[in-house]
Amino acid sequence: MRDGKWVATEKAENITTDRMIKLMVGRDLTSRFPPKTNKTSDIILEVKNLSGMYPPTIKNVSFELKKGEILGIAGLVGSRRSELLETIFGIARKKSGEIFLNSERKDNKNPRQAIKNGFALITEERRATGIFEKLSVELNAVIANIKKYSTFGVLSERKIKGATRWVIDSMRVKTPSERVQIKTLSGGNQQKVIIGRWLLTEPEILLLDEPTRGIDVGAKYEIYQLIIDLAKKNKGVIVVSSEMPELLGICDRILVMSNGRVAGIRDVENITQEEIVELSAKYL
Amino acid sequence: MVDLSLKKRKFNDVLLDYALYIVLGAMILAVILVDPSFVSLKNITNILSQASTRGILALGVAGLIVLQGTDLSVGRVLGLCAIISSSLLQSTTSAARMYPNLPMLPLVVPMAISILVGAIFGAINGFGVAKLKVHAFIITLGTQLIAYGISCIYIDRPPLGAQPIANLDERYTNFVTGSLKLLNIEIPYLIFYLILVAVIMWFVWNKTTLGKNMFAIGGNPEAAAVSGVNTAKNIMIIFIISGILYGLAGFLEAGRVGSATSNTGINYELDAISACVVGGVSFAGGIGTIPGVLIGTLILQFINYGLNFIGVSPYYQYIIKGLIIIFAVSIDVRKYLVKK
Repeated sequence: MRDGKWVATEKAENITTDRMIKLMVGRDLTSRFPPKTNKTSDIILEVKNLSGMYPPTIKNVSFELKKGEILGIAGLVGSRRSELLETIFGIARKKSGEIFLNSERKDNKNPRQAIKNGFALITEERRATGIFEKLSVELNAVIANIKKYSTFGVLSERKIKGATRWVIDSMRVKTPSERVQIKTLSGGNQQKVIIGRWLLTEPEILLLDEPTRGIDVGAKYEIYQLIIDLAKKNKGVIVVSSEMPELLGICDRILVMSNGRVAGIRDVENITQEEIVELSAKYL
Repeated sequence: MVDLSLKKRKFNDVLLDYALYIVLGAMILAVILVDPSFVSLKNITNILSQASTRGILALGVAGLIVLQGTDLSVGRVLGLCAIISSSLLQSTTSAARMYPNLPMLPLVVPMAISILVGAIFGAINGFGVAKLKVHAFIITLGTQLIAYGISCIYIDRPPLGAQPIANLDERYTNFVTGSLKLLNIEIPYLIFYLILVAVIMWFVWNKTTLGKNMFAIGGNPEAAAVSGVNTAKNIMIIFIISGILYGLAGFLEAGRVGSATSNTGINYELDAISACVVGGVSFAGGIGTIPGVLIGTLILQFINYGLNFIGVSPYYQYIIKGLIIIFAVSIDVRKYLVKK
């Protein structure tokens, strides 16, 4: 089935995975990942000896991120990858360490400050901390920088419409209208609205926590494409994922976490799934 | 076959959506059948003017319910504000004035004081919810007792004890109970005050960042915080606005009734909350409309007035009101379950 319509019924023994994906997506997906066309340049983000305040948390995490780079964060469940992103974004309190954006010290004390400083965080639990189920696609799209569409607190309908239109068009969100509750959309389309929400804040650094979880094959490809396009626009992108092929498919470098610490950072050409697993167990 | 079951489900959904209105409509119809004279201009304007102060209260509490909260202090805060306003506006010729030497104040002064007192209580409730992280139910349970205590102390005049504050200044009662004659129909000023408040609140809810943030926080507080919404500040402001509306309603209520005692406003929170629930403001948070709240208020006031009109004992009225609240909330919960 595709978009609520019957597409085909075939005998199980006659159908291949590729054929099934083709029928589901409506086009050939011979490659699961789009071509990597982003190029890295100067350092945009530096994290130095970052430790969190309240356990379970991260310890002495240091890394650098370049403009146009996609840094993957691998690790076992419970290796505190989400906590790393939350500490950078100011949701989790940090105990020590420094964050530099374009060589300027930017310690985010809360999400508001993080957004102002040019950070964006797409959280792991889309339903719990991402979408506003009962609210419209429109409000879901503009909430992170709603102040931009208002003068003295009064909203401009025109500006909000324009921003929502931009999210729906450029993210290719499939929705009957911008007024429907976001919960009526598919998981992939919800995720695209959330990515759009953050792009409206014009971030320098995008932190994505399991961005393709619970999303079907076709939408995954589109989200990979969006991530690569962002890197092409010289943003710094950090992607946390538990799917190793995904990290190997779209990232430039991979940082492996183990028990809240950095177990290793490698260029994607020089690392295999086996090595990632090995590094994941380093500090256990 | 498939189509049939789909149609049936849809029919059930529609039935569920309107069940409450069908039942309440039937009750109003029953009142009319028992006594057809219920439908008169006088009764309708009475209902509308009674619904006005209740409506203003309901508009205040609705925002808090959208925030997944509630407010039990509505009635007592209104009572305190009513007492304060009326004590400052007793007729200068009255013998039993609370402040015998008080000159005639411009109406706006007691109104402002009343609104200020309401706003202070709103701020305390808001602080409790936003900063102390106490559930709205608990913090307002506390403040309603505090408001009642202050009312009793304020009104107590030893050695006489507590006296109702009556003999209100004529300017005051005219301002509240007066009416505008339009095409031979007397429209009470109170209705205009309600409409004014409703328009302002509609604007706040739908056209301001505050309103959108309110729905976001009520819909999903965690997601709102991640999206950079200053949840504490917005919650505080919504609570203060609710307090301002209680203060205004308190000022109007004393003028409407013509006196105030420490019992003024008792149980008004129940009417305000049930009006919101009947009007579709969901306790799950994030859902509600201003027209819904107004319709809820009107329906309940119609039933209230109607039951009185056909002589149903107040004791039975309590039971009926209780059942309406349970019925309304259980339908609200059903809707939420079905759509999941």
